[in-house]
Amino acid sequence: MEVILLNFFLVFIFGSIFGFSELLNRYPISKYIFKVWQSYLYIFLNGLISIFALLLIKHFRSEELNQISKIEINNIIIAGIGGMMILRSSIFSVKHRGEKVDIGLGTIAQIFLDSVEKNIVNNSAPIRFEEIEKLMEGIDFDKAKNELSTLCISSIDNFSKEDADMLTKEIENLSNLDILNKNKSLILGKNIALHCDTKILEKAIAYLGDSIKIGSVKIESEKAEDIDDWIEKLNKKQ
Amino acid sequence: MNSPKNKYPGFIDGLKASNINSYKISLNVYSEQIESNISNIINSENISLSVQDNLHKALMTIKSTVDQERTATELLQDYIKFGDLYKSISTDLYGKFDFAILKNIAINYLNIAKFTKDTRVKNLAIEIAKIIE
Repeated sequence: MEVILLNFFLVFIFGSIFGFSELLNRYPISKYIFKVWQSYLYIFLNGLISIFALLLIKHFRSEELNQISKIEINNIIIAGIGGMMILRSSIFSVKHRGEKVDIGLGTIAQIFLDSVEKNIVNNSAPIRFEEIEKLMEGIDFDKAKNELSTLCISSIDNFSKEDADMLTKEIENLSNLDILNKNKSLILGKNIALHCDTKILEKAIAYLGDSIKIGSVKIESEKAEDIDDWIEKLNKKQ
Repeated sequence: MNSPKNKYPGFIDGLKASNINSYKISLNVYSEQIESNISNIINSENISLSVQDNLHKALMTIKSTVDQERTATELLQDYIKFGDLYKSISTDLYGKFDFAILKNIAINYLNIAKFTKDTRVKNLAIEIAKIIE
């Protein structure tokens, strides 16, 4: 009996890992996944379906459950993968108002994933807003947009080209948007944190210190090479 | 799979291109003013042929920056090329021409440096400004 339960437990774990990896793949801000109960339910459901897949394997092979006397690695792996396939399958699809609707367990999985996504977004938004509002307080958008983004990105080794292009585009759009500096800074912080995580943003802000704050005074060594000072100097010269 | 080393400079280039594209209209205005100022001194008899040749090249380079088809990277290369050429003849020009014209060129190039946010352009602009200071 213990061996049977151990097989079920292992196949449950295996299936759950598949569910968990799918959530991780879909939602880059992984720390919020665990703040939503639907995530746990989705992972649990994946594990449960894997057990169901194991039962099906045993049934179609005409093997009795009580014949299990050892850990059946092959069956566990097949059932884990099989569970994933069952949960994402659709028996057929119908067209409803011009849209293709899949009929099968895949629809249930999608409902869960949509619900998880909605809850992750809803739960994480206010928390992130509060965190980033605190971090970006008093920061000048024009001073910070290049400094902060390059510093944060440089601290990530595997930053992809797609993410880099997306962030550049977001900063460009934000620069051209006629809204309050306070608002721009907050959105800049949110965009950077989305790609680099809040911790890196926090460290970068601490490192750059007053140089990116509103009304900051440049230190003397930088001032000597400042373009505006040179323009002023030349303008005064006759 | 690209290595991280290949990926990161893409972001810097993208950011520079985004800066340049955002200020393209202003950059064109500065380029046109430089072009007009150089046109005023290019045919002078006060300068040697080699200086005149470099001045002509600088004029062609700054003219090309007004072309709408130029990409941000090409523009940046043009600004650097112009800065290099103009810096090499600035000492020869200083004292021989109306200071207001040389001052205008230097100020406009400083403004280009300001909007491109490129250190190489900035350094060249400051070196040019130092010559006529």
